[in-house]
Amino acid sequence: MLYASPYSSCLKTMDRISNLPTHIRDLILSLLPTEDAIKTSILSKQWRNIGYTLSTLNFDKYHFVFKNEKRTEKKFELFVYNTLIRHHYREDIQRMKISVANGGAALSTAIHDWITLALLHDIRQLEVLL
Amino acid sequence: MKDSFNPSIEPPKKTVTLVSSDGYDFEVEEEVALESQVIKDGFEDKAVDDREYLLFNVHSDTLELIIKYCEKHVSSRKSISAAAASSSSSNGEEALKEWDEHFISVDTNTLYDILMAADYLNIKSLLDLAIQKVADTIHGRSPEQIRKKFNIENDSIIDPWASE
Repeated sequence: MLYASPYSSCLKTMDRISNLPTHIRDLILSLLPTEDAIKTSILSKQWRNIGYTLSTLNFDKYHFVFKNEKRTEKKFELFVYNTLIRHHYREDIQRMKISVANGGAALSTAIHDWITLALLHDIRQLEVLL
Repeated sequence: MKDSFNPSIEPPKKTVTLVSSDGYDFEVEEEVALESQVIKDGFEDKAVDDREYLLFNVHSDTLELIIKYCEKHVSSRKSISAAAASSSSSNGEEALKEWDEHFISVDTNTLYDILMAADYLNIKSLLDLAIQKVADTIHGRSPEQIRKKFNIENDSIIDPWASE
């Protein structure tokens, strides 16, 4: 036989998803709500930094459910802040979408800060749903 | 008997040869090969008898699937536009979506191969389909379930995103 198949049985149990090129992993994570995308940082060392380099951020307050509105707002605000502050300084943010689910008034100062932070990463497309 | 002109017989289709990484030739119709943006770029500059592409990164198993996908999409597009021209109702797009869904329901290794090939050949619709599939697999699963699904070994010491 001229060509050996690269598909040996050991491949069946290999972790190949972690070895995807970074731009493909980024594409995959850009389809997820950001809290889900960031959760993948704890999968293994190879995923550790993925949360700091996402090119697309989707923040939706509806995904945050805590026992009262005030706590939900606080948690959401902290999460968006943390994500933006921890974003790698050399990685651009292409798109950011924020849905605050009627929390526009309470979060107005925060929204202003988030946009300022996003601008530091040369953001191209911004969508804020109040 | 000579049959040099008969309008009912179509001229022979132009074909392109794709060669997989393990050395197999696949002869496909030109329009099928042109689904790949990489092949499309500079295609016209290539001599007609030199339309052979060595795909060093695509194994024959994967190439077979990729060709199947492109053939389906080329033929579906034709029947959809034909139906639109004759303004007859058609559920072509719906059916194609269903076909796509079925096509991409594969094991994680095959999904990875399709993903890499779609990226390498720059077939946008297939890449979108494959990344959506991976995203759907991750969505709503716990880290432990994701690790299991993709055989990811947990070598993390601390959780940098722990909130509390």
